[in-house]
Amino acid sequence: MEKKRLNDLRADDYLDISDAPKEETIESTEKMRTAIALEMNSDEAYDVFRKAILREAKENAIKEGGLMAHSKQMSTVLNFCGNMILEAALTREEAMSSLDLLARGVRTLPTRFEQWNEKGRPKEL
Amino acid sequence: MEGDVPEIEKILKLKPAVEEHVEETDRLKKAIELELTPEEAFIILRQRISAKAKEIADGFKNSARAGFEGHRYQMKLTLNFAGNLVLDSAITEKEALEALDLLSKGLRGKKTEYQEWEEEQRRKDGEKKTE
Repeated sequence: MEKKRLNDLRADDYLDISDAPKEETIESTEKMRTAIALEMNSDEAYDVFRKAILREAKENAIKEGGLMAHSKQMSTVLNFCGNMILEAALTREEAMSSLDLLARGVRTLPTRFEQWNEKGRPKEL
Repeated sequence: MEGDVPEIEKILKLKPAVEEHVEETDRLKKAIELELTPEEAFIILRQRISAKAKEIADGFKNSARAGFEGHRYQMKLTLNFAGNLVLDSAITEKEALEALDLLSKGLRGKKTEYQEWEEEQRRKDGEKKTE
């Protein structure tokens, strides 16, 4: 993995879908009680989630280098995406067709990195 | 139940990542200051998506469409967030598409939460009948 260049990155280097984190084991901390009490809307919660992933990736980049951090970030993201879809979809068929649709949607938009190349460095990087 | 599943094509509207659209409210600042781990933040996000979907379903009270509309909204939010997460993290479009392809392979062996719930109900019903 370390020797790969960015263009050589392959998704199957990093996916491992595990079970979603259990609410009952995490919710009990003071930090979580405070976060739940804030009653954020879903956009705010997504923003907090995205920033948490980015913060972890930055910490990993300092410890293990950019490529390893990116690999771990992708792994985390795919794991959470998989769990979110399994939670929302009723049937496996619906989950699979939603992923197909997602792929079609993703083709229409640039990645954040591609946006960065076009418009300049994003503020949080 | 199959007939109640919304057509996916009608529910996805991928919009760009949200931070440009999210107002920096005090509660958002407080939440960011908590420095939640991704697992903790994921639980909050999951709860908020479910709460919003329930709110939508409640709006259709006493209507056969309540569950359908709640589910439709939940799928829409979930897919939008999942799409943005992948676009935020992948470097190239090729990597993003490969990641989604891999995700669909990974999901093939998994059951949805609803399917697990259904199986659990059937198991419980079976136990009651045996008793």
